[in-house]
Amino acid sequence: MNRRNLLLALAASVFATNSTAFDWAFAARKERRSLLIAGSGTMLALNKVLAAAFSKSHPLIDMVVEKGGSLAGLIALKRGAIDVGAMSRDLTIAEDEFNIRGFLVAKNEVSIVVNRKLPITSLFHEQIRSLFNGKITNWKQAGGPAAPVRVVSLKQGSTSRQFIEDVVLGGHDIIASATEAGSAKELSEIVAADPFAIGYISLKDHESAANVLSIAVDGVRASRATIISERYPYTQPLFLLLLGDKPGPAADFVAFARSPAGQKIVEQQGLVSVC
Amino acid sequence: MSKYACAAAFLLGILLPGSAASAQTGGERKAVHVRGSAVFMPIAQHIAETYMNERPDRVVALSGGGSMRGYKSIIDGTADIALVSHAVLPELKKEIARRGLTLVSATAGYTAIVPVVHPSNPLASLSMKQLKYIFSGRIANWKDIGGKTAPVNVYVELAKDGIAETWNDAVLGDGGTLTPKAAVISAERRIQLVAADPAAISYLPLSEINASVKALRIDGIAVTPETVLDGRHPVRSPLMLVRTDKASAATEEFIRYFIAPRKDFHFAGFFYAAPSAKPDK
Repeated sequence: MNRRNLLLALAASVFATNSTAFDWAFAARKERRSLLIAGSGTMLALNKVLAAAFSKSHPLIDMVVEKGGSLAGLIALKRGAIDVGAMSRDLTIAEDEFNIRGFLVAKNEVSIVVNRKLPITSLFHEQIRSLFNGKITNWKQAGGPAAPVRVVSLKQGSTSRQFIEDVVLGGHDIIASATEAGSAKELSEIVAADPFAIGYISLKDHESAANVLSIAVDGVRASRATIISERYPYTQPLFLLLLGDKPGPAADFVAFARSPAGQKIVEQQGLVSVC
Repeated sequence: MSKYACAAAFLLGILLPGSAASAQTGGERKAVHVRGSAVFMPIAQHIAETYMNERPDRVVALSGGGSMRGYKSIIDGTADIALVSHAVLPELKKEIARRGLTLVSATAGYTAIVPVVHPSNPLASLSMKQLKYIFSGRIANWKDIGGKTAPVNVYVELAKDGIAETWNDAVLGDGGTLTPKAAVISAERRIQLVAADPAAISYLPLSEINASVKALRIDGIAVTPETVLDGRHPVRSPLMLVRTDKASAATEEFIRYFIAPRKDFHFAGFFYAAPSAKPDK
């Protein structure tokens, strides 16, 4: 809540400066102006790299990239306080308005990994939720052997952890007793060494995680096709939002994100390209 | 102040032309973005994955949001195909005209929408007239239609969902209104409520029905591919793929692929229209 207010205050103050300083000569001379992008924390790193690449071909535009949350970004965009909203989920029917245009730029995903010796290859969403929030403490409760579960988690600030807490745990924290790993590689090493461990990684880390098994969720395995089709349950659509259909730098930025160059950045960020 | 900001942004947009046109197209796009009806998402996902597996250079990205979102997205240029179960609503027609667009629609198939009750409910079939009376509130007790003495609890879909419109059009008819006592609840929750409430009645698309509830026949007609495709089962919802006349070649190619006749194709709750629409010569 605080962060949201901060973002809105920031966005409003930037615009206040902008509009008081605005004059015709300023616009006519194509002087510097700023382009504000804000919203989903999951998309922060992606948006920063996209913005840096975009500003190379648009040197007169100062790119300002903020997080603050998907909803805060949407509200700020509707108020005209920012230029591009970043949303890591679909808009609800209530949030949607005709002048809000959501462009899909990428899909994000989290894979659940276990030790290859654990005789489990598929779990239901409810079981995974209970494993990560600590309701299930023994594999027996999830159809496995009688042995205590060891949950391995990435550190706070990781987008994959954010995904687990937002999407899998419905906004709740991962069990406090989880072993923390500093990287996906470290996480998969810990899981590979403990037959009763469970953890999570994202698609980009699969190469460094050949030693662990990525299990099916609700019977669906994560693959490029099941992520793009969104059938794999732990998939997140990433949208850039524009207000209205006026041409300008904001629309150009979104077009850049969807261009081959922008989609290459999407892949480099470990996300799935969709354009 | 925010009005100033908007005006400033608007004027900047006009005064700084930039490369605005590139927002719409950047060469021929190969990716196809599909948005729309949640009910038809499983079949669309299945077809899209098969397509991408056959043609690894293609991308067909799906997201839900309902039929309205689907239409909105093809009109405002944020998606290529709308996956919808009803015709475009009048409120969007002005916007379509303003943008000089024409919508082109293709029907891939149908799902049936089926009345559902608690498994203990002794009834097996209801007539369309009985359904109309129940959903409009004229019949409010199960005993009036041969059931136990208990008030009827009516659960319905969210009004903006295409399934709700299809049901209301078919069952209530023109000018019919839903009983104010009906509880509006999402499909996911509705099936749980009906499974737990012996006095409940609701409706669900065939694909979302499981053994926890009892599906009723309408006018004694069972749901089969034949009765749904020929319209004898009176409540069905079409799966339409809608694009604009400015769609990319990749979009048109995927639509052709989607609606093409498939032999021995089975997908829970969905009946392909193509074989009957285009009979073998």
